[in-house]
Amino acid sequence: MNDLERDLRKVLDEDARRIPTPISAPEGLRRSVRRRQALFGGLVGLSALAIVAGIVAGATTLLPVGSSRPGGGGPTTTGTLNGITITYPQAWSLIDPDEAGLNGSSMMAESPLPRIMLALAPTDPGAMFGCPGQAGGAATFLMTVQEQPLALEGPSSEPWPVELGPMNVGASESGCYPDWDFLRAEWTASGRTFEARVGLSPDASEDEHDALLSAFGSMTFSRSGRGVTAAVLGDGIAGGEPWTLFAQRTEGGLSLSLESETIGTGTSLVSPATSELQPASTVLGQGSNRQLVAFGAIPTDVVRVEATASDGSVVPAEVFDIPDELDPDSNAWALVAPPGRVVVRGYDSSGQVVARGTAGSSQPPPSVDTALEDGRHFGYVRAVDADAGTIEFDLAYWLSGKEADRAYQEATGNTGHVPNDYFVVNDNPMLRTLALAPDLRLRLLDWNHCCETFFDGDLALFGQAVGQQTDVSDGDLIYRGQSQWWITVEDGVVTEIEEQYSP
Amino acid sequence: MSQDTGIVRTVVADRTDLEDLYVRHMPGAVRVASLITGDADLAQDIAHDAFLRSVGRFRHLRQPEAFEAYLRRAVVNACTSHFRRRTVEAAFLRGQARRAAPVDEPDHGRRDELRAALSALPPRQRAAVVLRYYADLSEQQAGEALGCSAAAVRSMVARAMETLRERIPRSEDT
Repeated sequence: MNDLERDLRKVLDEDARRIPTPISAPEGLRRSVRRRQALFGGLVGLSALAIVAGIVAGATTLLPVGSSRPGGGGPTTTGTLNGITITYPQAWSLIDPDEAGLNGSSMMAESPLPRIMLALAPTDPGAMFGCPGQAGGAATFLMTVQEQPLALEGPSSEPWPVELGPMNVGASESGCYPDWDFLRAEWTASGRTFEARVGLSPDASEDEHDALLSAFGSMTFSRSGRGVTAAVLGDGIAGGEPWTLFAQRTEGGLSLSLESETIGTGTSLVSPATSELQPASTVLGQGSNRQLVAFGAIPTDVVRVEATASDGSVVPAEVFDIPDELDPDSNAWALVAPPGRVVVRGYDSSGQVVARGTAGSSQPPPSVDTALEDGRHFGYVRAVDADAGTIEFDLAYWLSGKEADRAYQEATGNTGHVPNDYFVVNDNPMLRTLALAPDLRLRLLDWNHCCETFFDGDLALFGQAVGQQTDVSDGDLIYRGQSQWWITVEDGVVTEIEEQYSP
Repeated sequence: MSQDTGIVRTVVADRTDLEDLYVRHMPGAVRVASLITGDADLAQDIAHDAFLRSVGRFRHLRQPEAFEAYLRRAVVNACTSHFRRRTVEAAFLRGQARRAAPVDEPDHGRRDELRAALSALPPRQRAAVVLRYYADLSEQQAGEALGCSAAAVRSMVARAMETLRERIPRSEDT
C-alpha cells in the first residue's frame, strides 16, 4: 500500500468515526416498513431454509443444554400448539414460534397469515443450533408447520391427511444445511390451510426419520377462534409467470392482493365493493410475453365481468367467491389481457352493465406500424447488427413528474411519489428493426464524469455490450449493455443514439 | 451462515426483527453515504430511505443474503442521483470541501488537503474510492454497488487516485 492509499484510508476512517449513526430504529420505522410490506404480503413462497433458520435460531433459547442426542424411539408425548395437536418422541422439543419470537408481534396484527404455528426439533447439547452444518451433525432434522391463507381450491386445499413430498431448495450449497433433504406438504383441515416443511440432515437416523414421519402423521387440527382472516381466491399464469390472488380481512375492510415471483403485489382496498370499480393491475412477463393482470372487487350482484383490451379484443374475467367471513358483500375478479389500458364492465344476472372501471397503463396502445416517425424516441436497444447497420429497438415511454407518479401508482399499486422522479412504461412488446444512418452519432455517458458528459462511441463495441448485456470497457470508457436510450429518427433512419442516465 | 443471513431470512419469513436489521446495517450505510456526499444530515436521509426501499423490495431478491449489498447499492445510487440533480454541483462541492475539513486537527495538513481533493472528485469516482478504501470492497463488489463492471471500478479508482496525486503533495514533501 502506498502513502496515498494509507492516508486515504486514515482520512476515511477518521471521518467515518465522526459521523453520527443511528443506534436504534426510529419510531416510524415499523410504520414505514409495514406500509411497504403491505405491498408484498402473503409470502407464500418462502424457502424452507428461511423458516428453518429462524426456527433453529429460536430453538437455541428453548432447547435444554446437556442432554444427549435423542433417537426416534422411546416414549412419546402429545402437545398442542395453536390448534395443532401432535404426538412426538418425548426427548424432542416442540417449539412455540411465538415464544421463540419467530412470528413478530405488532406487525402480524395487520397481516396474520402466513404464520408459523409450531416447530419440532431434536434436543442438542449446546450445539450451534443456528447453523446445524457447523454443529457436528448434532441437529439432524427440523420441522415447521405454517398456517397459510385459506385455500379454496388448488393443491393447498387438499384435505388432511396428506403425505410429505420432496422439495428442492438447493441446500447442497448451504454451509448450514449441507446436503440436507427437504420435504414439504400442504393441506386444509378444519377450515385452515397449512404447509409443513421438513429438513433432514444426511446424519438423521432411520429411527428419527420414521419417528418424524409418524409425528407428522399424528397431527390433528382444530378450528381457529379468529375465523377466516385470509384466503387464496385463485391463481393463473400471465406472461409465463404464475400468479395468485389473495383476499384478506383487515381493519380497513377487504384487501385483495396479487402475488407473483417477480412483481410486487398490487393491492386493492375495497370495503364494500361498489359499482364504480377500482381495479388494480400489474404487468408480468418479459419482452413480447408481457401480459397485464387486472383484478378487483365487485358487489355480489355482479355475476360476470369482462374487459375491452387496448387492441380492441374482449377479455372475459374469472369471478371468485370471497368467503362471507371475509366480506359478505363482495366478490373478486381477475383477468389477463395484452399490456395497456383495459376498460372493465360488470354485468348483473339480467345482462345489464352495473359496474365499470379501467385498469392498466394510460399510455397509448401500441402502433401496428413497426416504423418510427421522425423525431426523438425513448426505449431500449435490444440488438445491434453493425454489419447490416440496424438495431432492434424496444419503444418505451420515459415519464416524469405527475405523469410518472400516476403511471407508477397504476403499475405497482403503491401510493406516493415514484422513486427517483421518473418511471418507464414499456407495455408495448413490439421490437422494431431500424436502419442506422451511415453517419450515426453514438453518444454514450462517460460514467467517470457522470452524468452530463458524453463521448462518441464505437458501434461495434456498443453492439458487443448490448449483445452480451453487460458492460464493455474501452480503456476508461464504458459501454453499458443494459441501459436506456434516446434515438433520433430523421427521414426514417436513426441518426443518433444517446444514453439516458438513470440512477 | 452469517448472523446477517439469519436475521434477513427471519425478516422475510416472519416480518420481524426489522429493528435489528436496521441497527445492524444502518450505521455502515450512513457512513458510506456521508463519506460520498460529505453531508452527514443528507446521509441520514439517504440511508434511511434506501433502507426502506430495500426492505420494501426484499421480495424481489433472489438471494436474500444479498441484503447488505442491495442496501449498499441503493445508498450509492441515491448519493450519485443526488449529485446528478444538483444544478450547482461545483459550488456545492466547494462548499462541502470546506465543511469536510476538520478544524480541530491542525497537524493533519496533508489529510485536510486529501479531504478537500476527495470531496472535489466526481461523485462516482468518490463513491468508488469510498467503497474500495473505506468499505474494503473488492472491485467486483464495488462494481455491484455502483452498477458497473469491476474493470470500470478499477478505472474509476485509478483516475481518482491520479487526480488526488495531482492535487496533494507527496508525503515525503510534507
